[in-house]
Amino acid sequence: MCKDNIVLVCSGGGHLTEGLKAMPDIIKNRAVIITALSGHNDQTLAVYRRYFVVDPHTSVLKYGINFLQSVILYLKTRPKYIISTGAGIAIAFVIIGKVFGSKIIFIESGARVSTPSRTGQLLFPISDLFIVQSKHLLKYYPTARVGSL
Amino acid sequence: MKILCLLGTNPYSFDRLVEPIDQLIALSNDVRIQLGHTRFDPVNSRFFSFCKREELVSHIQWADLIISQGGYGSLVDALEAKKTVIAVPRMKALGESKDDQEELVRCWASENFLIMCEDVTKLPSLIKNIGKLSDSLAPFKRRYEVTVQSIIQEFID
Repeated sequence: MCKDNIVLVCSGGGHLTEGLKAMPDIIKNRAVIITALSGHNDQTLAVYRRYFVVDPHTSVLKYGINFLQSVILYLKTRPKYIISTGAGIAIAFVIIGKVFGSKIIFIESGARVSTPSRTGQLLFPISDLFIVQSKHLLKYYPTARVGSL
Repeated sequence: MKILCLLGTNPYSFDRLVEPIDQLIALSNDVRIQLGHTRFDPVNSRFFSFCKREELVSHIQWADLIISQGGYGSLVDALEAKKTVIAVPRMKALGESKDDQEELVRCWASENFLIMCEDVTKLPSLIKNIGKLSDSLAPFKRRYEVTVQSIIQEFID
């Protein structure tokens, strides 16, 4: 059974900035952030309930660790909605969430103007709401909504 | 001129941008460099790897000019602060990034939001002419009226 939580799961840096901007103000008080510890974002995110996981980048071992962390955190949060801006750090959590009944909202990076991201292409088929920030991407994601941050 | 160089949180090193900024540009300008994960020790510039968000905002406000990697986060922070930006995209082929940064920088340069620089040897002359170049820049604005926030809010309600 899904709780009323909303999880934002994404990499640090620009992905996190976009994710925080994308969240409607009215849900911010029930948002849980799952991201990578990067720079000083522990302090920046102090107002939120937050957890830090390994960012796998290109390491198979780190994807394994990230998967285990994602299982534990999913069982802890059981979100009704999962919002993600990518990248690889979010894949396991999103897939686990889909399997257990969470609704998936994915926002393709604003850096993507004419070519899709790898994470976006992977998660598009299981997303309940997919948003792009450039209409040129509709040819890769035909059912996506288009908007600006 | 007060120049801030932003390298973001990208896990790869971007020595190609930092070296000329520290070795040439810092000699006649007041330069601060946010290094991120770049493995280079500047000699002439004040530098730091990462900082709290409010400190970053303060560095951006301090700057007259921002020279940034082509990462979305770095560029949006600088452009939303209405600063003049020279963007130097990291090249995947040179091992400077896993993802291509050229696409976004070229798109925003074509909309005159920023100045694109692919050849770092041109940086000193761009800086010399920055007054004239920044006059031709347009204010940064959203591409579409519909916001991502409103799309998500409608979906969740």
